[in-house]
Amino acid sequence: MEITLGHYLIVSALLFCTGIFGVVTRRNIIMILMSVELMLNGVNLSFAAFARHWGDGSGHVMVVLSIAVAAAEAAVGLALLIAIFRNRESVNVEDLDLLKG
Amino acid sequence: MHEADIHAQWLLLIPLLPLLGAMVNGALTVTGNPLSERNTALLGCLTVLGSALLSTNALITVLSHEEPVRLTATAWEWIASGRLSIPVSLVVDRLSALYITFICWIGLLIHVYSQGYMHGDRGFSRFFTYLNLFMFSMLTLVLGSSLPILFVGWEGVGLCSYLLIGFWYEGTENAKAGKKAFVVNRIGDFAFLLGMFVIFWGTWQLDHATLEVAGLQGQIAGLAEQTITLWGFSMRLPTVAAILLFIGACGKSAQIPLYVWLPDAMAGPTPVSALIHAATMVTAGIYMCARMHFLFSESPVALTLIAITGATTALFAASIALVQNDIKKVLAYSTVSQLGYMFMGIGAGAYAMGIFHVFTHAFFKACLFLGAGSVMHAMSNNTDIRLMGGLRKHMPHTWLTFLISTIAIAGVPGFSGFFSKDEILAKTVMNHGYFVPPIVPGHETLTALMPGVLWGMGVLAAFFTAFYMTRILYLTFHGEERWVEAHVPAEVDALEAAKSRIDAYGFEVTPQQLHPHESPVSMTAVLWVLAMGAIFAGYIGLPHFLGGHLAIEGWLGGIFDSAHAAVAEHGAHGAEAVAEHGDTAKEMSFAIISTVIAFAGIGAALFCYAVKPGLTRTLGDALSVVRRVLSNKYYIDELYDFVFVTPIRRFSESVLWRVIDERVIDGTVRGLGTAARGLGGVLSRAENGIVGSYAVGMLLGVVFILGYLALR
Repeated sequence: MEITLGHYLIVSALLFCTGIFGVVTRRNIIMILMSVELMLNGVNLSFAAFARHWGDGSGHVMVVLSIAVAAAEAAVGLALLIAIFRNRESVNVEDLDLLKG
Repeated sequence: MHEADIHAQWLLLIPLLPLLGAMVNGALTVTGNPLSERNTALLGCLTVLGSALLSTNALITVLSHEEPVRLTATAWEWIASGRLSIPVSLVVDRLSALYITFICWIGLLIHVYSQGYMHGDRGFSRFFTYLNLFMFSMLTLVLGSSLPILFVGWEGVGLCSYLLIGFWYEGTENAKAGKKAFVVNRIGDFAFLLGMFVIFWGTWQLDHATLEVAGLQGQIAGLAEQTITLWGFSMRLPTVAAILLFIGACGKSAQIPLYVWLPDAMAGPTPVSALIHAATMVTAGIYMCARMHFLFSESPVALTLIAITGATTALFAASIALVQNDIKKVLAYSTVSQLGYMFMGIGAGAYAMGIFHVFTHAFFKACLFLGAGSVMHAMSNNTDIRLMGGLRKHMPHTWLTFLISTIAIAGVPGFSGFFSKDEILAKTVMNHGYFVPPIVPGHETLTALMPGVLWGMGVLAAFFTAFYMTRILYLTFHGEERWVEAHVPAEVDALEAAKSRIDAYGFEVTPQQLHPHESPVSMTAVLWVLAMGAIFAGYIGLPHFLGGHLAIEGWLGGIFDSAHAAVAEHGAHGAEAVAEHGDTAKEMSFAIISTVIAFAGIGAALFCYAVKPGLTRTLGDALSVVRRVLSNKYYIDELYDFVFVTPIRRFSESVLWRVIDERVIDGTVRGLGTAARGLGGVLSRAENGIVGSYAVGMLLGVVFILGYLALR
């Protein structure tokens, strides 16, 4: 069986949707951050697949950029998480309701 | 009739000086720092003196020209909109020169009188502020060059009338009287506005001079073919406009049906009654009709209506005055009645005679009112003539001036009232421009009868006038004293004597302890000046058969020529309709009849009160229904209350207030607040602090956007 573009995109979509499911459903902040990473990886995969398919280097550039941003964002997110944990003694997202209005 | 216009910018000072006085006195009063009584009065009187001198100058200027001239002054452009251009400008011609001169001089006299009368009153400076403001408004009314400017003055005098009638506003009755005056006036003002609109709609002009020229050139007559149709009943445009303007005049000049405010207006201080309700404001309606003579002459229907209303009011008010016991109320009804005479003159097409009566009436009526004020001053503010009697020994100046003015108003020959009233009655018959429209069955007989009927009403009213004026003169000043000199305690014999004198007349009052004294010179001097006017003011209108030239008619006539021409054209009797002044014998017979009536009235009153005191009581008991109807003023106030006031008040309370104001308007405003809060409540559910829900929200948003873009 030939692995076509479509297969890559489906895998990418599956990764993305799994990530969304995790963001929406998970209570642990660390799990949510991991799900966000999953979403980013799904998109990276689809970029790379398109770049390979169309022979265009821009897709590869996007991937590199995206990975860099993901890294930075993970760093910031974890730093925020640690700050929250120190204040609230919990990483359960349901406990963070100070913005309730 | 081509008039030369003389530019005279100083005319602007005539209304401006009193306005300045009002503003200065007003500003000082409002800030709680009024000038001393002497300085307040000085400022108030000096401004009016300035206007008086300038007005006299204007009069002399106008007098010195052979043909009619106009002095004009323009301030600025008030309204400039499309074809309508109304500058703030003042015009003096013969009519307005006469008017402003007597307004200013009589106004000055009353300002001087007020210093004595209002002495010690808490609102002294407020009073002079209002008086000056009134002078400003009245002068604007008379001097205005176009209907809107006239209307500004018209409203202004209505406002000042309200302020001055309700001057002692702590008393509920006073405040109610002021309110009544203003509301009834407003009804007239509404009609006046409608009239202005109709005129504008027909001619695109509102300036007196332009309208008059339009009238002369037959434009108004040509427009007369235009009709206004309401509910299937169509009337010519000049008729509609004239009737509407006349209704406005009825409100301002207290004619049927809008006279009801004037008797109540006696709640105000007496100088106010003299100035506003005798000499000036109430004559504004007549001035306006004379100003717009070209319009009224185009509409015989309107003129007939005016004449009928005038005659009816004259008789009606005179009959009420017969039985009133309050000296000011008698004078109030007398004013309404005399105003009826003036309108009769207008309605007969004798504009100059109506104005003549305005002029003479101003003198004797102001003198009568101020004399009444003098009496009230002396009698501790009592106004009931049943409690008075024999005052002539105690107040000789007041007595004599009151006597002179009474003789004048009764129409005794030689005094001013005779000349003006007689001329009006004569012209009512001689000018037969009356017209009953064909829609009324038997209209030809009615038209033929009308001059005679109106004349008869006028004559009867003259009889009543002589009677009731003599009555109050006699009961107040003559006879024996029905009061007791104020001692503590009162002497019993004196009280009994006074009581027996009261019983002789059949009055039902108790004698009072009073201390009458003559008023100070500031008041009596004014009374004498006015009394001299009451005698001599009539000589400017000396009729032909006495060798005079009916000067005032000739003089003002230049203004009214077009009116006479129009009456000749439209009058029911065509060319005969213009006054036949050459007919000396006819004039003489009218004069004789007037004289007889005057003396008959005086004689009847003297008989009833001097010779046979109990007669009126017995007559009253016999005709008790008549007495009740007359004392209760034909129950008109009660009628208006029942038909208009109470339903409107109840409608206002139960519908307009409870439903529309509270439920609809307040409900809408509150509802908007409630809706905003409700919406806020709903939207705030999205701010629940649950982070997961925020993530879901973001997800849904993305889905919607993508879906929209994909499906576009």
